[in-house]
Amino acid sequence: MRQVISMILAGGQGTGLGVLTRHRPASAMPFGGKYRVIDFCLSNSSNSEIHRVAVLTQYAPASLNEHIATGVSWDLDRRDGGVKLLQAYSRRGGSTWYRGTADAIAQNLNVLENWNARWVVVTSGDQVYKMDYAELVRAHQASGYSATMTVKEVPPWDCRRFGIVSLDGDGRVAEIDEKPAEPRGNLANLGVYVFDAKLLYERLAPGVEAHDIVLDLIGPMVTEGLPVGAHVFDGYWDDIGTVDAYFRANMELLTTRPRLVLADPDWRIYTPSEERPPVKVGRAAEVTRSLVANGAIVGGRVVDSILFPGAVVAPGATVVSSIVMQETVIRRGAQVDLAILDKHIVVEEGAVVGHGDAGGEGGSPGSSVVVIGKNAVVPAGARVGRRCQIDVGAVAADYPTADLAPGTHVVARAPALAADGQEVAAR
Amino acid sequence: MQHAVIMAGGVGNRLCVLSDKRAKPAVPFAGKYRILDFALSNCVNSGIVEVNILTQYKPASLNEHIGIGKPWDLDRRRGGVRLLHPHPSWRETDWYSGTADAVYQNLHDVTRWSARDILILSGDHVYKMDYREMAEYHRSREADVTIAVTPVPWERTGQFGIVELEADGRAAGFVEKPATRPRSNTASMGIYIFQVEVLARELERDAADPLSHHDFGRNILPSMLGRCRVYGYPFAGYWQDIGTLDTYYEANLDLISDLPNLDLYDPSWLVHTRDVYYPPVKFIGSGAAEGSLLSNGCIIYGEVRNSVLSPGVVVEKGAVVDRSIILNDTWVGPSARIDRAILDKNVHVGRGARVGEGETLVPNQGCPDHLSSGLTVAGKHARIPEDGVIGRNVRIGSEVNESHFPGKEVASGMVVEAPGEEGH
Repeated sequence: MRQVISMILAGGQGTGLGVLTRHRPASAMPFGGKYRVIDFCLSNSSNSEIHRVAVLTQYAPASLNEHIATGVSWDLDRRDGGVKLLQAYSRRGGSTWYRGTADAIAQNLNVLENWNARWVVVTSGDQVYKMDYAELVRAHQASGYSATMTVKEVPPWDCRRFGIVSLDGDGRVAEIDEKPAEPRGNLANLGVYVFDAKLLYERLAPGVEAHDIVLDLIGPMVTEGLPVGAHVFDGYWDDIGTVDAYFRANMELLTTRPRLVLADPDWRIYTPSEERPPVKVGRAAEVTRSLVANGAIVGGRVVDSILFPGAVVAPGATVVSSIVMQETVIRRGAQVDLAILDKHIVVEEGAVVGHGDAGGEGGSPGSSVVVIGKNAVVPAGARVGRRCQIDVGAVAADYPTADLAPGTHVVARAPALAADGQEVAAR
Repeated sequence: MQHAVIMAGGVGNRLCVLSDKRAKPAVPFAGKYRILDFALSNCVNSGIVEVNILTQYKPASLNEHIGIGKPWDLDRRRGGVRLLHPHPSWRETDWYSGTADAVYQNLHDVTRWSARDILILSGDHVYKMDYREMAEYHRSREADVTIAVTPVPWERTGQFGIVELEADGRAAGFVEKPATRPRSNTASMGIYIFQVEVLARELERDAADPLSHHDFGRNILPSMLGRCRVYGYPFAGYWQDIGTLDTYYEANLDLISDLPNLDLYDPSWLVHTRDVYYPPVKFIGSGAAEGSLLSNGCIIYGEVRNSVLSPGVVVEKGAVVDRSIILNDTWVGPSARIDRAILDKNVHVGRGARVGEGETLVPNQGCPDHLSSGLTVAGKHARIPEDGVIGRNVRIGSEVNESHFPGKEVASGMVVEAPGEEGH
């Protein structure tokens, strides 16, 4: 795959993730006990023998930059090529942030040129899937078209969140119907594309106003009668753009035979090692149906949950159906149920996170989830109802009451200030 | 001090099957580490940028583990890690005959950069130590050589080089493995800081002596007493020489306790090791664990108690693993029972097999001195038959398969060996 490069669009905040994406983009979301979502695209690229990878960043890229570093974890630290982090940059004649998926590519065409790219695989960094891009590229090359979309059959009830693609008699894209109220098919656009570099130079040239790949690049091509191919993918795929989707994708990993296999030696998902000791399970501890990463310490009861490195569940504490990220501590007697806890949180003794009826009216468990932002504290004895959101850095003083009604949003008031008056950044 | 030499050539005979296929420093420890990771991480965390590792016995595992040194940040343009194996050359070089001989044969390579001092240490020990503090002590005493020393139990003094120190730290006596009760229980840790010039001179001197064993502890250091400035640097932290199966077993299981002697959680002193890219530990169905250490990649359908598991171990439904050490990628079949056992990598325990069964304690026939406390051990790739009943103090050799078993029952103290694998 020498003349193929991949471009990973990793600039989006993912506002549907609430406090979880206050300080990181959606592509940097911790996932599956030790990964970050972008590991899938990076590993897919590397496993597909694509060794030139451009990661286009925008929103709060610090976590991504630190995570990706030299690219060594995915074998992308290379003499020629490797991984490039491309943050939106200013220029003469007016600086703009990336105005959309096509604009992000347009502002970085020079990278394609410098790398002598002939084909470009474009994907979004906040999607969870394993795919051999080489197969996709070969299908594209064989078709002779200048653009190929990847599509997947999705269940009818799920169609409304996708662009639904209709094909003509020759298997080419005839129409794309964005988030249709009445879907006329069930082939979803996954947002994974292959383009001839030449096409991008022509249709994203300076002066062309193109913001969105579907609306401003592929859409017009289809209208003009230019052929756009559709490659059908039948593997697992999900985006994690909402709390519900994120929760569901993680919990899927706990099933006996998950559709997303992380331990596949033929298609490993790589991530930097945190260099932690093995999982420590205490004498009276209980761990069932869970994923627990090196560095976690389990003294209490953990069921149907995911623990990241450094997560600590004290003796006498209980964690059920929850995701607990790095360094978060659940103290003695605390109970956590249906919650996503970001990093460096302390749930004090006897606190109850997530209580009362869950998933009412046929809603999925993910719709009842409590979400707690980085560095927050849940005070001793507090009771947090379903669907509450607790801001990054919230402390006891920010809680209006010790007993939070379902859906309460606890706002962190004055952010912590360092001596020089700057807001102390969350870790 | 930026240069170190690590001795990693040792055989580790008393570790039985664990050293069948690998040098002692390559023996897995605490689930995901290897013994050498401790010395190597200590070096790197102490600012040492060039580490020469002297290998000899079965270095393949070591070579693969070290690679180019990336996990320890030792993949460098200048310095970094190098593996030095014995080789014929225009000079008189041969297999290393002793620790001092190993360094002597590589003297030119390990002292290329002009450095005042060099650190020489063994790769066999488990401990955390900042060598910079020892280097400071060495310089402040203007020592020719400084030996790191630590107290050991009186009943074990016969296993160590015992050092007698004066009040100011100067070494007055050095006896290697004393046969009778010595005057001191201060043991040499096998960690030395030499002035490079002194090292070169002493190694030359020793090389010319045909009666010498060319060993630091037996020859070089005792000979330097009186003539040179030899000092002892006292170390009081945790330090384990994992010499026997029993000490190996105890040192691993100690990590399960509430307050283990070795703290692996210190973010300011990370123990680096090669990553094996496994997902987190997965507990499925009624799979459970208690009082145990489990590494990423383990898949638990059965029960694990009081045990230490390396990456990738699978414990099937109904199986119970108790008081055991299980190394990488071993498969424990459904309803199998493992008790007080050490299973090497890629061992296959057949469905329903019982390993470590019964109360009879006959010392192992093959190595009665090393395997007599009731542990049962199985070497790499061993296959234990379905419904097999294996007693205590049993040694199952590497590469053994079902056809090598005399029957379903293996009595206490027996040895099961694959032909061609024994005695090497």
